Amino acid sequence: MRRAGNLFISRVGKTSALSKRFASTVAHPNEADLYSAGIFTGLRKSYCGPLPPSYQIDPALLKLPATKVTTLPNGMRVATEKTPGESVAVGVFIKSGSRYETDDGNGSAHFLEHMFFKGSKNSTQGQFEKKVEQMGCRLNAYTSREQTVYYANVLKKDVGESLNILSEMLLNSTFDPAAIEREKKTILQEMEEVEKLEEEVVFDNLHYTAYQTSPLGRTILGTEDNIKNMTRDLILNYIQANYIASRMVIVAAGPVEHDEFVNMVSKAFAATPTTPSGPGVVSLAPAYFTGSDIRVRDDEMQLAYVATAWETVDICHADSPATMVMQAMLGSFDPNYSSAIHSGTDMVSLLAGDNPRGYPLVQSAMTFNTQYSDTGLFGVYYVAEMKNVMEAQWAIFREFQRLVHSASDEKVELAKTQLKSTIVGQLDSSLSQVCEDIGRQMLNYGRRLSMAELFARIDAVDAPTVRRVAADIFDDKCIAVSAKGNISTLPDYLWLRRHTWSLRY
Amino acid sequence: MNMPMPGTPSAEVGAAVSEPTTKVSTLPNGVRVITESKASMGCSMAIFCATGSRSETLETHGASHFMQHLAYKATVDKSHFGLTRAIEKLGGHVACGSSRDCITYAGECLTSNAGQLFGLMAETFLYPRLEKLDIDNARTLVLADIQNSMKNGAFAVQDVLHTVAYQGQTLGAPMLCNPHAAEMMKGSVIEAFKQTTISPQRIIVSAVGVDHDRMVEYADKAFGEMQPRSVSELVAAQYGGGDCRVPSEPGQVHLALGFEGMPCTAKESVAAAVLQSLLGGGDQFSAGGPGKGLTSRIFRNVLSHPEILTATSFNVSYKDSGLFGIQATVNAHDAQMAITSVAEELTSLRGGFSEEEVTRAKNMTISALFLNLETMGIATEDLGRQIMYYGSRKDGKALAAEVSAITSQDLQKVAKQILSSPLSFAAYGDVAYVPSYSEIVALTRA
Repeated sequence: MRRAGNLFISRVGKTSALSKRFASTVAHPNEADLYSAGIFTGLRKSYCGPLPPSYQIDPALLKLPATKVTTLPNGMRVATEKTPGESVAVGVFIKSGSRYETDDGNGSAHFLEHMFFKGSKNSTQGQFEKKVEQMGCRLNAYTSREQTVYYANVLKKDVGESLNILSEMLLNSTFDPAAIEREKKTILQEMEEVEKLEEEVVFDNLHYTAYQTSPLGRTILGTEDNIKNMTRDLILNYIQANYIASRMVIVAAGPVEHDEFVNMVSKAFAATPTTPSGPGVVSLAPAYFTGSDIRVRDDEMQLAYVATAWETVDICHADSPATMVMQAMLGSFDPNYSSAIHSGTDMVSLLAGDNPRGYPLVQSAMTFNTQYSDTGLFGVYYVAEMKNVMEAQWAIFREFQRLVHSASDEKVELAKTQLKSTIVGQLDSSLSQVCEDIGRQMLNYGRRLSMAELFARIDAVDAPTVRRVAADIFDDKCIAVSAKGNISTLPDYLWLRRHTWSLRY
Repeated sequence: MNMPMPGTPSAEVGAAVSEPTTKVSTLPNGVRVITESKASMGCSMAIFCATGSRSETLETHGASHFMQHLAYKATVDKSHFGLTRAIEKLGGHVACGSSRDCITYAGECLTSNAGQLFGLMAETFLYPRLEKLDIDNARTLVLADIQNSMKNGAFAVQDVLHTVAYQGQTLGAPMLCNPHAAEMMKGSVIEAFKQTTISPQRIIVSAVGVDHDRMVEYADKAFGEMQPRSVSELVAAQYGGGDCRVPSEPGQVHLALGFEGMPCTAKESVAAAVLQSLLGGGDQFSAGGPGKGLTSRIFRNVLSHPEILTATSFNVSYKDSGLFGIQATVNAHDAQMAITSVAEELTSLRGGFSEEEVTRAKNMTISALFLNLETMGIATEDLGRQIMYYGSRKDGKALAAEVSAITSQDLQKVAKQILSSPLSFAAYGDVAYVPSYSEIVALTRA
């Protein structure tokens, strides 16, 4: 499975400390040191704004379960959150994704993820599948641009065994050349499926144009040629360079004892390499955002699929909570939500039909906030009929300008409540989500934020903060645009760029 | 974000969380309230009413489907605009679903807003505005639903299967409103449906993450003044079996072979659930690794034919009946071959099971059970439905113990019992190549 970043409410984090460790040790001085030396202090404050003087932490926030973290001698981190119940979600989070591939190895991170399920030194693929299903365990994995995740859902008595299975996969896979050949077909088929999904294509193209010349601009699946030419060596190179103890976090959420889990992890993953080696080691190429557009016009298609993005702050940035609030303020229009036309989220009600035309301008629209360790994309993706494209585009730009000039306390408060509710609801939706949240925060921030801190950071965002951050990110800034389909009515780049600022309001 | 915010606690500080406790209360008028505790800032609540398409009569057909689309729109006191804004302001996520035997209003929000959101949920359930404009708006959505359901073959074939299994009555009554009835729908029909099927003793309030006494208070405020009504008794479902084919778009055909399964009140329903895990199934091409049932029988024996695009076992249970079988999707001309393969799988259930596969099916059932209960919304639904069907609640551990106790003899017994009922066969889509009913019956007798 591939996953193109976190397109919905994004509470993902990425640590500068970690993301920079591996690459900068090779090529640059440690960037984290630069920040602490004060060179970038203007860019990076420790928190985004002072809390109101009378701010009280809700006592209910202090009754939530704790996250315990231990760093093993080899640098691997282990985090657990203990909650009652019978089932446990175990995840292995690795700071490695398509961004860390070599040019000719693009696609290996994802290819590798498939190969781990294809048999190890101790068991064939069939035996492996049987063993997993025999205990009612579920395994899954995904690869994104900056991380690869493997997770298992098991009953609490099987936690130790699930760790053995994960370590067997990650450390002892055979990568049989014949299985690699077979898997090429599957991945090419997956690629075909992905290419049918306009949204995936538009976002891949968006990364391609926004981060042209940088590895972040490449796709996760890799090019067709790369898949066809994938070799065992390329896969092994990638593992040796990236599957390193210090870049791995092992997480458990559910009824587990922290110390016991740490012991089990240190036994199961004792053989994890501690230093990157081989030709797969790359230095982290910085991602430069380039204002540009990419259009795949096809007048035979019924609809236009358009994404417009600005460069937003990196995931660790103190303004990240403000961007999350802005994402909630702009909202998403789901056509199945029949009350959208009355929504208090202006962009949603406008696109849903509360406009002079009196009908919906788009079929669906979504505000995305995809953040990476040193950059990010914030914008709107929509699907519309050709005749409505220009008007929808205009409406969207106007809403961004409203954030810059006239974000009001009322709208900000509304968005904050919704954001908190969404965050909490997401964590309540499964232990896998809790596990995912812990793992991503550990990889991105190098620590887990307490819910109290997260709420405080959101509470610290007020209307002036939103206007300031919106001005920093959107006002008269270059945009990256990716469009596909029946897009003859999408205005040219200069028109679009001109609408990122305004003389009125 | 990588540095702690001064003045806020670290994530390493937290409270020990105790095992969840479940409490049930009954209001004087018969409304039942069930809650489960959870250490979270959020909560999930639901109102269940044991009514649905099976309670509709010829006169009220389609009313429950309309009620689903009247939910969270205008109420007697509030406009659609007002209600939408009120829910948004609470950060609420709401949904409404009507099914054959139940209509559900669900909501999630921060626990601090639970009381207010529950008030709005109850308001939209009890007092939807039924003027012409409201009905017209709902009609648009109902008709769109009908359109969409026709494109969703997997859903449509199940609906057809229910129709044929229960002869169009009770559980076999169409779940969605008929397009003609939709055109004719009036507020008075919905009012009549509400009067004849909604009564406090049929209402259940369930919640996860809300204090029990608080929830009782909210429920009492919303439903306390309702007077018990004499509502029409539920007509017991009569399983019949038979054959029904609904032609639609050319290309693919969706097939379902079903037998009378176990009602969820029967003690054999646990064995039927294990039997379903044992059959398993899935898509020819789907995401996910081991654990999705790669070693299940359907995966190994049916999906090994690349022509069969999807094949899954199903086990639907209602209070007084249920359906068990396999459904599959294939290109039209592969219908014969798919039916042969599926029928073979069903008949082989008579043949017994290896210990290994029984253990696997049991473990998969148990882990699926707990995995589902992790989701707050599903846990809330589970609380409500158990009260609705059994009048009491069994927690996950008790159910898991029942699953563990199942033996291969139990499975074989229940398999034989299921397969002894007359076959229900449904096809939806390009039905041109589907063999005759008697041929299919012969295949399942083998």
